[in-house]
Amino acid sequence: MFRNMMIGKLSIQREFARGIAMKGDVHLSNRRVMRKIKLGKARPAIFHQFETLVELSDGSVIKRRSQAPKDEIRMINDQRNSVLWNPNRSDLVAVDPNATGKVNKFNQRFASFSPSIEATSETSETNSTQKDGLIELLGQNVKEVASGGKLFDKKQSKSKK
Amino acid sequence: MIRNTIIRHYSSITATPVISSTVLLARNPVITRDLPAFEKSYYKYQNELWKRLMWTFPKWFYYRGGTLGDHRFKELNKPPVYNNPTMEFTDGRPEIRQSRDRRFKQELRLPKTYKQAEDGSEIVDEYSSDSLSRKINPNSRVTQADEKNDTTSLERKLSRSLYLVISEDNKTWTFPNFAVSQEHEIPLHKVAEDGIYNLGGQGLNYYNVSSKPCHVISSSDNNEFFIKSQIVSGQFKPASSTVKFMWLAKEELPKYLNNDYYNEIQHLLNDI
Repeated sequence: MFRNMMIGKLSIQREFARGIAMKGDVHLSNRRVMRKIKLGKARPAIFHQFETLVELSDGSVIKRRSQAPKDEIRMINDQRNSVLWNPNRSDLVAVDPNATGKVNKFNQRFASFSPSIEATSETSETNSTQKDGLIELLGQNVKEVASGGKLFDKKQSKSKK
Repeated sequence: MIRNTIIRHYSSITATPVISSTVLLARNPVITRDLPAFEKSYYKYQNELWKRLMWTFPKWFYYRGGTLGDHRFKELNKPPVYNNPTMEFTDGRPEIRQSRDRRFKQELRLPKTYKQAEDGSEIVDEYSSDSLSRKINPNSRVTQADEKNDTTSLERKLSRSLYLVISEDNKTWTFPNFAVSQEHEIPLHKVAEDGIYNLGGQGLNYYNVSSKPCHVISSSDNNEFFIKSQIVSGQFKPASSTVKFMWLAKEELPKYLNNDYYNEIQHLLNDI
């Protein structure tokens, strides 16, 4: 009995002592759960990384680390042949391969109404024909099928009935 | 130098000193510097430590199960020997998590875009030279000019700054030096520019660091100013065949230059 009481007293004392700030004590937030990091259990958070060789469009090769499972990447468009980063080079042509938005569609459709837009749409068309390499694979004297004709309109045919 | 100053103090002749302008035409390093052995081993150690501490590659994230990519990846990376409880392992029990032995660093082989031989080298066929999926080979840090020890080439010692030295008689080598005429008041850097163009042809594009000289060696009868400039593009091709030239790094220069002269200007030259 007596011994148990003694232990109880000691534990109370210990708990009491924990609450008192001593000189030089470090106070951390109470919400933070302190856990002892055991020896050999500390690991920095490093994701698995591969050493990747990146070849730029001018042939220079850069070695870098990357998390993606690719160890060789060849760039087609990058800072070495971009008009934005090479303003003094005359041999580069700015081609927007993703000109498929609403505005571009609108311009293509209503190009004939304003002369300024007409000029821009023409240049974009020539660019697209130059860039399209698949048509060359079909052979010589092949003409691209002109799309954009009037298609069958389901709604209109229904309303006519 | 000391002798010159003494002469200046005691000579009674007051001749106008010759002013000349010397060009320190440098080719800047093209690639990163060569690492010393200690730094090399330090980076190697850190790199290996990094690899050892890396987490297991999340294969399930990049390769969905059952796809072709997953199949290719599995073919290249066979799972390690599993921890068989009935077996005795002499090198310690494998600690397998997510088909990786955690005792060692994870080494993975990735599927390539080109055909591979057994040892990992590329199988070269007629299409592979210009195809977009060919192997990426980084250029060597050692060029052909290094192997031939061609000192006139601008492609030698890519990791070092090179300086142009010329010689008329193939014995005494100096930096290109041009006298400033007393009648026409042409600035020093203009004299240097015209001199370089007359000497090495117009096929040279250079960048003048400053129109002000960076150093002067003065004696009683000679004031030699130094103009720093860097070659940007083109080649130095001497107009006359009698002029020999070399592109030399700093530690090669004392072999060719006058010893006192080199000591006077060595602080102007780049160590890397």
